[in-house]
Amino acid sequence: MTDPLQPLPDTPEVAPAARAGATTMLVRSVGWLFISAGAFLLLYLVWLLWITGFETGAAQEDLLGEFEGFGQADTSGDLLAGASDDDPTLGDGDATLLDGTGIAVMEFERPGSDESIVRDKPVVIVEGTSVGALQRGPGHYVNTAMPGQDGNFVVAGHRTTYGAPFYNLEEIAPGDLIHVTMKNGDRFTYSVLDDSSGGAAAGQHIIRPTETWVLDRDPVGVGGPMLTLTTCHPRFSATYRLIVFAELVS
Amino acid sequence: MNKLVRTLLIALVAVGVVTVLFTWVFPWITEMGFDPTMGG
Repeated sequence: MTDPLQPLPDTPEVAPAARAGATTMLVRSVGWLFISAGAFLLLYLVWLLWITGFETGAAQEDLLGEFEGFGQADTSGDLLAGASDDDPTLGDGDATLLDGTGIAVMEFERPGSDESIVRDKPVVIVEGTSVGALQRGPGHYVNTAMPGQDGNFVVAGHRTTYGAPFYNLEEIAPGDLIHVTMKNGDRFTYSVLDDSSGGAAAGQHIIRPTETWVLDRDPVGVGGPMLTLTTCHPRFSATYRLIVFAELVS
Repeated sequence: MNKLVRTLLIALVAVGVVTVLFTWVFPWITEMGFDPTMGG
């Protein structure tokens, strides 16, 4: 007969070992979960910040192909759905312009200098500022003027992600030239204004995203055709917007 | 299992997972509105 005061054989040794095994497995599982989540987020950022650039780069290559032979009239008809590019309604942010369609090529120049500013290569401006449009390139705000027209031609571009067309927009300075070439060869040159606000460098403005006055027809009293560029500020954040105003000079 | 075969299998699975993430999962997450840069 077993002595009731005697502990069962093996019981005290086995139970702690089993508990320790379960705890180890739990800690290990939680650890792997965190490592996996970290790797997932890291990969997501890599995709967002760099890989999306390839997608935009391919779209830009295709769009640039439509502008081959600058200065030659292109009446192929793919600019508008059912209208030619000399349609008088073209400049009014007309709804027939297809979202994401290339409308003009933009280049930056610093007069009297070979130094490249903002971008090394020309960039195609597309119609619209939808998520899809901005994935193809900088987008023209619908319902703002078209290039060369009286009013404000407003273009938004990503500061980071999707090719980051305006990554270096803060390099711009008063007097820098922004050339905008249309498919029909019309070329408009804008000169960056010498004004600033929000603690930005000359020629630049830093505003809050809610300050939509920059989209107005004549937000800074130019009194003629002008161009406005908008992007996020600072880089990798959307807390503010970096704005550049330029007036048509030729 | 041969160590080389095992390594190759792991590499293959890793490439597959990354491809699926880059091609479908991440674009879908962005379309759903999650973007740490907030479209900046």
